[in-house]
Amino acid sequence: MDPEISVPMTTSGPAIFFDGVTSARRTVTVELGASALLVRGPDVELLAEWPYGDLAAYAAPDGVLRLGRAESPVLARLEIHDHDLAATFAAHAGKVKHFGAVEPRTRVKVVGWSLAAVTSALLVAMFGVPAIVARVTPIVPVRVEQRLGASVEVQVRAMLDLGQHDRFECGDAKSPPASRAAFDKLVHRLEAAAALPVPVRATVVHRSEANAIALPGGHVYVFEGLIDKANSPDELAGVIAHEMGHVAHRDGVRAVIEAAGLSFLFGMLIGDFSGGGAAVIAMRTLLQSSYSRETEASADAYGAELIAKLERDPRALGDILMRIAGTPGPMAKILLTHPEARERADAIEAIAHKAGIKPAAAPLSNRTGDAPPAGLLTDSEWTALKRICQAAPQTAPRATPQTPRKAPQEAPNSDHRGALPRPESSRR
Amino acid sequence: MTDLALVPPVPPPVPPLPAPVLPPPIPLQLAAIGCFTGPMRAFRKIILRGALLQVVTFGIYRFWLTTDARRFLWANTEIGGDSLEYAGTAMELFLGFLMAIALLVPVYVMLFIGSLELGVWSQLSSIGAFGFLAVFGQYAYYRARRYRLTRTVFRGIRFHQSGSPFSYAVRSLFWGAVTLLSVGLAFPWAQASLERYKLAHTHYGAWQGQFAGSGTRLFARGVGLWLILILALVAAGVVATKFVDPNVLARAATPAGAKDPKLAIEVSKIMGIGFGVTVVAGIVYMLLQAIVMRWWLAGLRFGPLVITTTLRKRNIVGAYLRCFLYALLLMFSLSMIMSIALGIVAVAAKPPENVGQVLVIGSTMVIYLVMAIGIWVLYQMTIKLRIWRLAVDSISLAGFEAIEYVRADASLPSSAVGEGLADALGAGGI
Repeated sequence: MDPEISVPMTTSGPAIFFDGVTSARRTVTVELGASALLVRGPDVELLAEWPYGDLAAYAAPDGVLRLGRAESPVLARLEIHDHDLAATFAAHAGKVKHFGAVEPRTRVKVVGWSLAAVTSALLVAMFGVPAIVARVTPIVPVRVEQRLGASVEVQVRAMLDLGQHDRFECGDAKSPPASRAAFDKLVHRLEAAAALPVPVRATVVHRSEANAIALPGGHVYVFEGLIDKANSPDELAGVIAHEMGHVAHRDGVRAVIEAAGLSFLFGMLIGDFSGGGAAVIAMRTLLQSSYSRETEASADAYGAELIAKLERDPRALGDILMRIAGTPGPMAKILLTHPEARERADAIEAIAHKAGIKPAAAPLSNRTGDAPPAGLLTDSEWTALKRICQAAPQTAPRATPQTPRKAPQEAPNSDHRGALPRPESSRR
Repeated sequence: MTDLALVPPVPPPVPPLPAPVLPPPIPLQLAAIGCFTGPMRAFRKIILRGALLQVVTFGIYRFWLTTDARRFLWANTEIGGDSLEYAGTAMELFLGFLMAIALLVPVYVMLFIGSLELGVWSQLSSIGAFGFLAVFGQYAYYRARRYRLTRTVFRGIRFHQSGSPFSYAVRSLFWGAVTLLSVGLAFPWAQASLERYKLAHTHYGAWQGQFAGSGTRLFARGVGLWLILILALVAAGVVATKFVDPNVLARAATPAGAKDPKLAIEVSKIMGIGFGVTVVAGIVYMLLQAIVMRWWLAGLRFGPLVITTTLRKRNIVGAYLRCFLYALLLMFSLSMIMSIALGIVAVAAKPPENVGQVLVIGSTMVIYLVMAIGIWVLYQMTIKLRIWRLAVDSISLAGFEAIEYVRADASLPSSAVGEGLADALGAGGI
């Protein structure tokens, strides 16, 4: 700027001054005193005297030192454009705080504490949420669960009903009464042995997947595909008993509370930065599938014990699970909502062993539709039940699909639990 | 960008008066121009570092990033030779965020409980949630604007905003509904009305802002774009009904229909039509942004200041196109690099199938993350910064000599709580 003033130890120099009262710009002279900075006007009159301790530097373009008095309601500003004067000022005034600037130390703190906060939220999600859910779920009134079930049912039906049949349910007036009676008998025998908080309403529906789902409030949907695939009443009973496990444990309510807890925990904390939404969804998916695997394992245990109580072999549940499920890939495993079929069958085997039930004599592969004597259903009842979804008794039996067809729509999700992994995830 | 209700400029054609030779006060200028002095490089550093730290902190760093970016943008915005000052702090923003959480948590819980109810209540609760977010989004936007203005200092005087956020939210919703009902035709008048409200309640010291842009004029400039968009949609509809067989699509839900080879053809036809409409809509969007920006800048008034702009439409469109092309380039090169890397691993290491699956899923996630960050950075650099810069450089302020006599407003209202709701609802931005 002014070459004559650029002597190293300048103690005064030009600057621009705004007094904070009007927007007038004044060219002034700055004097660096012993303990304060003096601003003098063109007639050497004193415009301001700022003790160094009061000063703060404010956001300014490169090469400009913009000073003001910290904490002052009057926004008087002094702009020093002269590099040497700025350097001398620094020497006189010592360290001046930079108002609003993000210091490297602050950055480290922000990163450190954010990581701590996220870690703590994750720990809460992994341990705290399940603990809370386990305590809250039992005290939710049955009436609330049934109401929840009714609203879930509307959505589930909308998703599952492909409209390819006149009616979504099988086993109504149009199907053979014997079939319906056999199905009801099976369900009632199981229900009588189970002590459930709500009455079970079991319905067979037109869906080709080998699966069954339980909704909150005690409604169980058994898919047509499952009845096609079941080789014995015990196998079908095993799956229905598993669903009753979900009803007994009130897993539908549990899932709703879990989902709300998780989205609350992460949705609030993690704002909308690029990829943030994806991070929230990914975390929720991972945690929910892990909750879900535990839930499924305990429903398996419940189902196996229920079957054992009826003095039948729970291994039938393991058999049908093994037959239907594929082997998931390693990555898919942590995303699975259900444990692997092998693990499930092993756990069921352990329960059967504990209950002192010997494995059925016939090798698994040779089992036919015949149930051992004194089974859950008679042969003729079982035969009738297998035909439950055929429109009229005289119709030729429908060709049974050998593999579950892939559902065009995303089928059940966390609000209602299927006994079996969805075909999409098991095919990995 | 419309957030920055403070750029007062005058056209460059008026030559600045020679500064008075007298030493006493204040050099006199009759007209002043805007000038952006910040180097791209410095901003890129702020944005890149911010993006990385946001990932590491799961987004919590955003308050510090926003503050850094604003300090840079404000300080490098020179009007008539003096630069703006951003006097906000990240801690204020963070506090505001905490307040927003405190306010929103009960609402969130209530809405959740409502959604568990049956029938009417559940529907009322979703309508309630939508209405609440709509009103509060606008409310929060107005509050956030107030925060930014009170944290903007120019020549020792700060800006501020009066007016009621609630009243603004009501206006905004009303105009939003009218715009929707008129299929967009009311948009210019909606903009004009809202800008009039905002500017009339914007103050620089004792000066009051004013918005002089006219909705009718904006309509005249933009109605062509509206027609183009409508024509494109109608044409797409006509083409679709003529060439796409709806029966094939209807059958897609059935197992047999899903395997029909004709389905792929029909779907690709629809995708083609969709692509065409998207391209037209994209071009219309860019041009509309440019038109609105010009119209807005030229409508700004502060006290006696009259602002004019030399902003070119093609420069704004160029900024968008550049961002788009860079994003394509980024996506292309990233996929190339990943496929080559995977290919090398596959050939050299011959991993078992399991490991291969993990690698593929892992690299897809990496690509997603890098793309998300990359596009955000590109957007900030090539659109946000560039348009800010173009806007600042394009303005001139007539009557600038009056700037010497603006008095500070003695009753300085300012909020100490940042942009709380706005940030929590995503209206923060730079």
